[in-house]
Order: sequence, then structure tokens, then C-alpha cells
Amino acid sequence: MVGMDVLKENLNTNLFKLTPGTLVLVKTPLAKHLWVSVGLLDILLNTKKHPGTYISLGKPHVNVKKAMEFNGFKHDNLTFVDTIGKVGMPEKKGKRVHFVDGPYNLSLLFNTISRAFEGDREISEIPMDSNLFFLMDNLDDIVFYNEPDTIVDFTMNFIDMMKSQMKLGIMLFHNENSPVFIALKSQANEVFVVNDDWF
Amino acid sequence: MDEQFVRLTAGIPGLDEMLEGGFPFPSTILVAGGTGTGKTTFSLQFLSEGAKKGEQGLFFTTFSEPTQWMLRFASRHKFIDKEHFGDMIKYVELGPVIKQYRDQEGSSEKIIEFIENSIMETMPQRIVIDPITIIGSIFTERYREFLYDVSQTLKNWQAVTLLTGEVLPSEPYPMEVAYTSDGIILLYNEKFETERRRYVEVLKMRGTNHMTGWQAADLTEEGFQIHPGLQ
Repeated sequence: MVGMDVLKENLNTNLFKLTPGTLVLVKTPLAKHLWVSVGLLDILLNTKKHPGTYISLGKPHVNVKKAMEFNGFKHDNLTFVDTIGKVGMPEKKGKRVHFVDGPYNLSLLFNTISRAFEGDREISEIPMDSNLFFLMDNLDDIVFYNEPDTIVDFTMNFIDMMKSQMKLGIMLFHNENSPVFIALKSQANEVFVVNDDWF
Repeated sequence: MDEQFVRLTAGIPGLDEMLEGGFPFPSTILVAGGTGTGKTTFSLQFLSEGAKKGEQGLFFTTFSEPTQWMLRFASRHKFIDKEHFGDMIKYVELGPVIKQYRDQEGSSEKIIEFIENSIMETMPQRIVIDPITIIGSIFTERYREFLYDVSQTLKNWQAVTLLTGEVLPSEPYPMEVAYTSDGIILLYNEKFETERRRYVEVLKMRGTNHMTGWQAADLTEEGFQIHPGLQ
């Protein structure tokens, strides 16, 4: 079964009530996180009318953008933070795209993003402080470059920032046995599992 | 951190053992061999394995061959479940698209756009382009650039892609495709006196401490089966 409709219906039923200041871990089937992101973004941006930030840790943001456009989902009020697309991709600039150097330097990544979230225009011309949520796609993509402890520190800092600024935080992953997921589980308000047959 | 490396099982008995559990995800893998070495069967086995596990597959054929013809020949293999075709395994004819755009400006971008649209429609974890080498005769000058773009595009869509390549008698494998691939698997059907014997060799697999050298293989109605350690 292939389709965005079934996926979105299930996501909407289960995640529509999420509120600011909440952290949700979303477990996706292998290789389906991009499509889950697209479905979630449409619900948050277009159904709930929340401006937000998409943080891409493993793929250029253009893939998400194209997938949203292909499905007819608007993304005018979405800011992209792209940690991958700076190298080797045709799109180098975009007014709602903030390129940050690689997922292999998590302290730089955190410092840059947190300053952007605080509205620091030197870091980003994009006002991210008014955004109500961020979606991080996905935590398994950074395990190749970083030790689990480093990733846990990075995500814990993110969670603190998210809670202090009352943002809704969504973090995607697919490996429930990873030490990162195990460490984060206790911090999450909800752990949500996306089923294989929703596609 | 190797245990964190996500892999997709190949579905070919013996091969996962050679690859530390399967193909790295995401990646593009060249499966190369001469005529009759079983490249298409190998690819269909890979997609069928995914379909059984609920993973979506996308099969691009660069020949203008309707699905039923491909299925007619493939259905002799026991691993083929016809119910999967059109559902868990989508079959897309790339041949007509290549013909349509071959002489036009921006043809490679248009072909890649078609591939991307098919991916966005089906959301696959497993992709096959069979055979990729036919495109070489069309993009004579920009073939390598096209292959690089295709390879990058496919990886960015987060899938494991098998690119099958026809090998000419004068070359060990299609060099242009090899440059852009994360892995190279060679299929042999070698003549020994009056009989032929099949072998499989993993020449390259990034991020993987793979088994090297020629490994004996069978191609029967069960599909491909490799016997690691038997040379």
C-alpha cells in the first residue's frame, strides 16, 4: 500500500493535540522518516497553522521541500535548517533556508541553531524565534559521526531550550535500541510509533 | 559504532553473510556482469526480499518492456510473488522517457526529475535501475556527470539502489558507473571446459568489511544462492 493519505490520517489522529513545550519521539519504519516528516509538517503548518523549523540531519532539505510540493503541501511558514545540503547540491541559497555546517560538529550546530531560535539576526536572517515547533529528522543520521554521549548532550541541550521557549519538539528515529533513544525516552512526553502499514 | 550502521538485507542467501548483514543504507550499488549472469534476477530477489518485509520497491527498466513480459520470465523463480507487483513493487518504464528526452537540452535533468517524481509517488526503500549502462549510449559525453547526479539524487531520497550494468568482454566492469557507486558486485558465468560455473564477487562495499574473492553461486528456480567460502 502506498500513499500519503493513510499516513497523514493516522498521524493527525494521534498527534493533533500536541502542545508547545512537549517533546515527542517518533519512531518510524526504516527509511520512512522523510515521508513521516512531510506528513507531520503538513499537519503542523497547514492544519494547525503553526510556523515551524525543520532540521535536516541526514538529507538535503530540498528533498523535503520537493516532497511537500509534490503532495501539494504549502511550506511558506517553514524554516529549513539544512546540515547536509551545503555541499554538492544545486540549491545553495534560500531565504528560508539556513545552512549550518555538518552533523559531525554538534556543539557548533547547537550554538548556531539556539542563537537563531533566540532571534539572533547575525546568525540567521530568518526569524526563528516566532516558530512554534521544530522537527528534527533524524537522530539515527548523526550516530555515524558522533559518540552516543555527545548526541545525548546535544539533544538534552535542545530539549532544555525547547522547554524554556515553549516550543513543540519532535525528534524522529528508527533504531529503538540505540543508546541515544534509550537515554531520551525518559525525557519525552510521548513516544509515538509509526506503523509500517500506514503507507 | 558499526552496530549503528543501518543495513538492508539482500534477500540472496549467502550475500548478507559476505556483507556484514546487508547493503549499507542509503547507498547505490553496481551489480555488473555479462549477458546471462543473472543481474535482473538478482535485482528482483532484492526487491522481493523487501516486499516480504513490508518495504516498498521501485523497479525502473530502461528497456521498453511491459511488466507482463518481465513477469512471464521471472515467474519461474519461486521467490516471485505476483501479488507484490504493482503494489509493493512498482514497475516503471524509463525507456520511453529516455527516448523522449534524449536529444533535448536539459535531458538529464528531465530524466532525473522523472525518477524523482516516481520516487515521491511510491516512497520506496529499495530501487533498481535495470540496466543503467544503456543510458551510456545516449549520454556519450555527459554520461559520467549524469551518473553522478543520479547516484547523489537516489542517495538523498534515502534508499538502497541497485544499478545493473552490462559488462563488455573487454572490461571487468562498467568503469563510469563504478566511480559513482558505493558498492560493486560482480556476477560471473565462467566457462570451464564444457560447462559454465557461476561466481559472485564483492569488489567494493563502502563502510563494510566484506568478504573478498570469487564465491561459488547457483542460479536456480529458487533464485541466486551464494556459497561463501566455496571458491
